[in-house]
Amino acid sequence: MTAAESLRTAGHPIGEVYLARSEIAARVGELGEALGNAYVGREPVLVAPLKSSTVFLADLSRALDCDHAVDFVELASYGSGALGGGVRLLKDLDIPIVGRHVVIVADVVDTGLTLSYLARTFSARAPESLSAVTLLDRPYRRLVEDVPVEHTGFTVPDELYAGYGLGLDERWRALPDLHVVLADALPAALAS
Amino acid sequence: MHGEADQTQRFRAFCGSVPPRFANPAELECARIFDWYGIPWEYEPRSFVLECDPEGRVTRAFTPDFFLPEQNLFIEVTVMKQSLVTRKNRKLRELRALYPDVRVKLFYRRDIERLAQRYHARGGNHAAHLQLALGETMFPARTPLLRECVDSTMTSPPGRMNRPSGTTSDGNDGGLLT
Repeated sequence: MTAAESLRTAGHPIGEVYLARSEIAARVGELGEALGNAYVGREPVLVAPLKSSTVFLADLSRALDCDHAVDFVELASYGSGALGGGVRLLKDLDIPIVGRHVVIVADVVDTGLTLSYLARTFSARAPESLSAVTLLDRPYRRLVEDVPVEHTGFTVPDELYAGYGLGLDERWRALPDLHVVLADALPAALAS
Repeated sequence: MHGEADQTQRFRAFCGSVPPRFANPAELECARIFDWYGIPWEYEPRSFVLECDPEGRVTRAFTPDFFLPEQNLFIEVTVMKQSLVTRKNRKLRELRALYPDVRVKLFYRRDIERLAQRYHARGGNHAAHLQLALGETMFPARTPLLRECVDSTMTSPPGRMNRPSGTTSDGNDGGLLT
């Protein structure tokens, strides 16, 4: 029995595989090649927001055939502050990015709000260039259009997903394939 | 109602003139999201006439919930499942047909759920909180009279009354209604 089947048996709302690990691996390899060609000799800094992007970043980093640095940021959780607060970095970059080529590595881009915030924040630090690569994209859900997405893994339907680093309430991140989450069953699953 | 006047003072990105009186928790949650990201927003700043009777009296109108001035984008919030928003989508289609220069999008409950998915709150199950807030136990919606009131901000279709102001002609998002 696979991990997903075990979870399903236990009542978790894990649906069918949407992207198998082999499909993801193949596409990440292509993204790595594309990035390698784009940044040859430039030593980019790959920056991933914690935590959902970490698996993608790990694979992308190993697929990238040019020297590069890796760093992470962590954003304050939405809803963790009082009304009137705002998004902010809980963990900032360790690497100065002045004059560097920065590539934001996102798990999903949909409204573009988060990526736009990161782009604005990093742009203020005078990098040489700034772009983004996302594993999953929902361009039809954009609220903010000025996001620097230059490479996309998969344009996906309007579903919730789990696995390959994506999770909900710290669950299901470790699933090796990307699964659709059965949204109708979520409230019960979250309450448990 | 949600979002009392004293709360309005604490919205840092609110840039409207009339304090918002949210119709349901989902609208309040959306306002918080825009605020969280520092995206300037207004609440129901404009109504769009969809239909007039032969005497020119407004019989149907549509008031999107939010306007994001920096994006030049109206947002209509829905807590319905995407499969159940046919009626709302029809209204948006009408609005687009009458006001082709106006950009408007639906903000689905799923958009908010995704936010919960990505940024669950520390020390609490905020995702579950959002699920509950957006669940089926919604507060009663305002009356149609309030929601579609004909007021001083009413905008009419081109050729009927006045054209909407402050809009550009960069087109609409065709993917919304699919």
